Amino acid sequence: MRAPVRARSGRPAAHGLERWAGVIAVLVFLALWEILPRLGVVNEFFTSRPSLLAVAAVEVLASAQYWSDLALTMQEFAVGFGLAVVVAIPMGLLIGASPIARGIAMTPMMALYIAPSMILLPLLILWLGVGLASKIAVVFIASYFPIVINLLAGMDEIDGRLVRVGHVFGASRLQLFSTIHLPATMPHLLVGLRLAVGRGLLSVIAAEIFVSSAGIGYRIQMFGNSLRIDRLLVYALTVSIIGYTMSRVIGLLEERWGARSVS
Amino acid sequence: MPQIQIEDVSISYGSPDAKTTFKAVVGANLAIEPGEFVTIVGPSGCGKSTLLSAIAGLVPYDGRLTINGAAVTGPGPDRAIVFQDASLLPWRTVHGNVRFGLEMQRKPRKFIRERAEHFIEMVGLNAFARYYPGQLSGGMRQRVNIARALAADPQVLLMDEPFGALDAQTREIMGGELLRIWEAERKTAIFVTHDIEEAIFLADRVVVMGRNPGRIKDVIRIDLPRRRTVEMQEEPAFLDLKRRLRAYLAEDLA
Ligand SMILES: Nc1ncnc2c1ncn2[C@@H]1O[C@H](COP(=O)(O)OP(=O)(O)O)[C@@H](O)[C@H]1O
Ligand SMILES: [Mg+2]
Repeated sequence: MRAPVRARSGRPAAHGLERWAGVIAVLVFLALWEILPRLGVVNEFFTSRPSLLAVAAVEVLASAQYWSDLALTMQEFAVGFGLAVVVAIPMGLLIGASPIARGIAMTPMMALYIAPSMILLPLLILWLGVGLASKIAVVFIASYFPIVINLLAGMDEIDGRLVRVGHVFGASRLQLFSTIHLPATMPHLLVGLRLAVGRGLLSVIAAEIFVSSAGIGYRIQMFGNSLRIDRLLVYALTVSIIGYTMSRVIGLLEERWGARSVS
Repeated sequence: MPQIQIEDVSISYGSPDAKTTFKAVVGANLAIEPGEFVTIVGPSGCGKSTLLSAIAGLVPYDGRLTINGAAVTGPGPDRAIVFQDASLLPWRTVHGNVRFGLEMQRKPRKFIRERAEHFIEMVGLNAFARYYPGQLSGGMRQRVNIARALAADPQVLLMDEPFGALDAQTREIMGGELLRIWEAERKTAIFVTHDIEEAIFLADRVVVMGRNPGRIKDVIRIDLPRRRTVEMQEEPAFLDLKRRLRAYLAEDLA
């Protein structure tokens, strides 16, 4: 009887400590980052400093270029990711509905999932040019497979008794997908979407670093070449914040879905 | 004319290697009138669920099985099933589950909402319409299952041990509730159970099934007056029926 009580009263305290430890670690890191270059221990030329970063951030955010870079990158990402979602969900449900198709598709899908989509970039550029289209294609490929793979896994675990309910009440094929298969695989789908966001974002930046004349990746590459570490970091931070925000949103959806489906 | 006609129906399951088949039900004959309440009892594995699934159109059969004269070839809106467990959609609320059948039938929105509300009220779950199945007790979940089946407006209500997972007391209450609803709706009802008292209490006729092979052994008419009361279960007529059925079922276990 005593152990659970102790654990219960002990856990929130530990949680608070952990949280503070995290904040303190960040503060210490920022302090060292600021002080060490000033003391000449490391070369500020390569590391920049938080205070310089803050100044650079103000400059960058005030520039029209930053916003047009951001708009371009987000456009490439959004179109590629959106297409991936729109194609991957029906594909995953369709292939997943048949155990045989699932068995056949799983291995090649897995191989394509594991291979980084960037290895296709040279080919995509050859086919689609160096502009928008090849970036969209890279994002599409990077996002598509995590979604399909996770949906297939979800379809594999689906409770046959719930599918039977659909049949009993006369669900059409389409109704079965939308009212049974899709909600039943929602936890898997959300995991797939979260992975897809990360991979898609990585791909668009990497593709821009390799070949482009604008966009966040291009600017990161350019600032790297001209050793504007402060500005490079502002752009890099932008990518982190976008990625973090999107996966947090999906994480919240996962929590909400989990809360309603389980007692 | 009987509403459901089962003539020389046999049902087999193929083994995974598809080389042999297992006969779960052999040569079943039964005719059920509209509005009748029929219960099916028998030891586990005698093919009760199998026979019910065939009527539901979920498993193929040999022989003749008709509803209103038309051969059963699959599930249809003229039938609805209540399963023992785990058949509510966990991501839908009580209201969302009850409307499911009507949504599949693409009925107008307003009609769906009103009909769902009506049946949620009938099973006494008004206060829980916005709850998810995971937040309900076993008895409440089965009320939702019954409401969902009735809301779809079937002519025949099929129930496979719907109260099998409930405790004895809840089970008795649910039985009474079910009869009240059935008397109001007058659907044809087929109810599978392995509880002899439940079988007698609910039924116009009790179908007794036996094992090895799975078959219908006898059909016993229950001439107790409607409406049934819990007190009836202590009366000599009820106890007689109980003794008779128990003797029947004991044969199988010997
Ligand atoms: N899907 C199935 N595949 C193969 N055999 C089955 C299947 N379902 C049931 N059976 C077998 O058929 C017989 C009757 O089962 P069932 O109808 O579930 O019995 P009951 O509901 O009376 O307990 C049992 O021997 C059971 O093992
Ligand atoms: Mg059974």
